[in-house]
Amino acid sequence: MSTEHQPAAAADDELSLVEAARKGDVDAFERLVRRYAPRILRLARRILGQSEDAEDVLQETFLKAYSKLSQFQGNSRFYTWIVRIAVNQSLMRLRQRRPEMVATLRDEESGEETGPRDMADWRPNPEQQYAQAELGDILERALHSLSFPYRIVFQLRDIDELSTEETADALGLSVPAVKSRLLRARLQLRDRLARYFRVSANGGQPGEGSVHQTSPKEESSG
Amino acid sequence: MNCRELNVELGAYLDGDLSAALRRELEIHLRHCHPCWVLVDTCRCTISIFRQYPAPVVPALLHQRVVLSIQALAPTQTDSGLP
Repeated sequence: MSTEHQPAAAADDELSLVEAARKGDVDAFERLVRRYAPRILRLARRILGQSEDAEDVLQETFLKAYSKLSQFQGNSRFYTWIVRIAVNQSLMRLRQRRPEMVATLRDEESGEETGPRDMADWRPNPEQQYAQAELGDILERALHSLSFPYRIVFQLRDIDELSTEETADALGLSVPAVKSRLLRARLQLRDRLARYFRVSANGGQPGEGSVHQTSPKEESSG
Repeated sequence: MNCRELNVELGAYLDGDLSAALRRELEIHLRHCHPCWVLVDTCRCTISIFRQYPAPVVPALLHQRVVLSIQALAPTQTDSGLP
């Protein structure tokens, strides 16, 4: 399902680059930087916005990883390890700039989800209806419409592919809190995207249609 | 399983964390309830669209800044590995 999931060969390659870097091969570490910097920058921007802070976090993350390479255990992926470093660095900066935002991580969950759900089918390959840049804007707007505690959990679990436990650990949350926020984030994002991706009743432009009430499909999505 | 129960199990189902028995019950429900099928399908689609959208290109100057700062920290290559 993911294009960013590492095949076994790439994971082996990651390990050998880390080993080489540990023995002093800076080029090997630079290859790790080239491979993961885009994802680390994306993560920092999702926490700190398009700012110099996010760029500083990118630099700090790799510097810290390099200087602490001997502490990397190797029982988790290197990528997961640097994501954890990037989250720490980002939250530290956010705490200086917007302490109230970081404090929302500790907020109690509110009650049930409210509001009707859009139950229309989506078009096949809905993302292909939009040019890449336009799709990027749609996704950013949708993500930034989420409150911070939901956005950060979705980012770590579904985009950066940390496990539930790793996400809970990185954010200082309980596993049930991560699970509950993740589901809410997914449902809210689904509703935000539905207006762009849904099949309209008259076959026209997305967003014009009504709720589908057709017969159940035979296939199972599982 | 009914629609309300499916909503309770939805997160675990999406993550592949349901027991085989519950998963089977849920999937039987999906075969007969189109709104629930749409819910599951579009949740999956949401995750996959976000996951597959490429990460941003790191500006060349920023990349260079990162690399230079690491090189400044690194021992010289010729020193490494020596006893």
